Amino acid sequence: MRGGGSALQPIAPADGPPAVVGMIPEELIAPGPDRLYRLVDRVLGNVLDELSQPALNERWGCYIATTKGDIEALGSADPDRVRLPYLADHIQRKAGFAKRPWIISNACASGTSAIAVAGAAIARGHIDHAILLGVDLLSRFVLRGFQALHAVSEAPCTPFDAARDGTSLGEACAAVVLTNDPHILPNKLGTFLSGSIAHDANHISGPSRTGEGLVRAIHGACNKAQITASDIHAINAHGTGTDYNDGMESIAFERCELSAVPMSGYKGWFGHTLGAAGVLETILALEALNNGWVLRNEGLVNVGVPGKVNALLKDERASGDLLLKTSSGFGGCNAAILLQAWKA
Amino acid sequence: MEGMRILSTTTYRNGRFTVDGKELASSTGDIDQDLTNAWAAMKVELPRFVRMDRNSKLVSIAAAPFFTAEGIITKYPKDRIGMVIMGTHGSMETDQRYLDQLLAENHASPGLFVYTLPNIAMGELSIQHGLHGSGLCLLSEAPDVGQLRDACEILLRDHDMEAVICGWANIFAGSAVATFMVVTTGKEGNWDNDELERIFNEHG
Amino acid sequence: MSTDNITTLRQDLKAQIISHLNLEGRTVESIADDMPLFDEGLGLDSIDVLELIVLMDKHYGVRIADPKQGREVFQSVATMADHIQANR
Repeated sequence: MRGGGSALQPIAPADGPPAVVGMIPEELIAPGPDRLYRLVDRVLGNVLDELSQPALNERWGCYIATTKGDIEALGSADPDRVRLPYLADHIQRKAGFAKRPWIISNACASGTSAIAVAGAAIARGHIDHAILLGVDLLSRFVLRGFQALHAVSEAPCTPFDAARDGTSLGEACAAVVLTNDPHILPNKLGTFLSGSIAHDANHISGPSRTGEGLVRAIHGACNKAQITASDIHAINAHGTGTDYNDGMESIAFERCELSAVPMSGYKGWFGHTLGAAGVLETILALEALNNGWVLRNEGLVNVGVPGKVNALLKDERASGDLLLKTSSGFGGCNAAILLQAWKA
Repeated sequence: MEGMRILSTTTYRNGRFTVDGKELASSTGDIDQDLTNAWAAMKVELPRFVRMDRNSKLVSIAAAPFFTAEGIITKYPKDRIGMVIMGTHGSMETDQRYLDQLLAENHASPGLFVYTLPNIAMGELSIQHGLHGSGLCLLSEAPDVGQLRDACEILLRDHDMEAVICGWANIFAGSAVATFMVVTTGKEGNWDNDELERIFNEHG
Repeated sequence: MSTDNITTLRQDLKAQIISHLNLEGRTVESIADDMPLFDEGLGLDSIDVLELIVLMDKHYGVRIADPKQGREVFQSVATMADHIQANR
């Protein structure tokens, strides 16, 4: 991301397979009915290897964030797999969790919502550790739906740009481990401080123009962590590239006095990964901060949003370690989490 | 002793609709007529209702008694009312309708597509009643009282909600079941895992 | 164009709208020609505009390229009928 440009490519003609965007190994992403499970199993396997295969007893929680799961199985010979609990069951058995996994499906705010919940569960003492996995795949089901809403851009999406014309869909599986015992983690990304979720109560697919839900979520997270806007060093936004979403976010950020904070959304690099977005983007934003950077908005040329924001056109040296991550989704759901980078 | 307190409960079992044990509507055997009857029993003016998918109608019905003039939840500020809604099939019924039309007519209906997410019913509920609070849409093979309890506790204590509409709602393959509660914290908690397990799994 | 044809088009449109948007319980008679389709009136929203654009295209062969243009065209059954006549 520091050295390269967007990985987004035009999708193949209607009946072709989805284009490979180059970040996921070919053998995992090749078409086939078990595509979702190959990807999930690999990511889960990687996480468990890194943790040296711990016994996943009652003190371990599992949180799965997804919007559509195995939606391509709908209409197939095995429609049972479409049920999201089927995926949870697969993960529980594969990993060996004693506790039944949670499945959190808050539309495009699923990943960030799940982090907020897992963090709170550990803070409350419900559990000591959690493995949190976000996943969603590219599908004709979703693509055709977004196209019907006129929400898909012609070229790779350009969040916060004056000429933005929609989002680009991506796919990803991303996982993090949360724990109250840093010794079990070989590689530390950061510290979870607080999280909050709030609703727009406006329209099921159009955000509140004044950002009612997002403002409340941001305030909720800040109040909980006892920090103010001026303490925040970087914002990783939702930034889908649609007119309404990016406009709403800019207004919410301004209302929360975050106009000066270096802000970027990552979807210009790899698109909107739906349920995985909150997890994937949090990981990468923390990793950037750990390396001393706040990354740019890939593809942004002219900032064109109603609210005053500091949308980065170039990568910038980070001035500190406090990150605000926000996500918004259909149903008017907004989630905000505050994290502190580990080695900024 | 401080704890989690359930203030009110509604149940919907394939048309039989009860509020704190009192029956407001009974089953006709027709899933859509049942939803219409249960809604009519609430005497709510909401033109949007007939446009919703079945999931959203079921959730709207199950929560409606809490929001009447004498409703138990009306005394709480609208940005302090949270929602935790759990089910098995999520939006699968609407997913199938959307896909059927897509395959048969090569037309992706935007009106159907917006309902193909499990949390839209929760979104509709928040719009109806102006709720700006926290919310979680959870999926599970069967009602998981432990997860519901933990979720309510997180919303009440970490997300500063004063009351949570917590429940199970599932509509799929001709079956429509919902059990909703208003949960708060207070002196003398009455949350009983076993009792709730029984209520959630009870068939009408 | 004769008055009869205009009336037929408007009636046809009303039936199409009811069926296409699943407006349960709505009858053709209950939709006045100049009744506002959005907000008060029929209570349609921005998603319905997208559906109506598809309806215009598939059933009447009239394309609307930009959803933002839709709001003017879809003010009422009367404005929709006028647009169809002008562009078909």
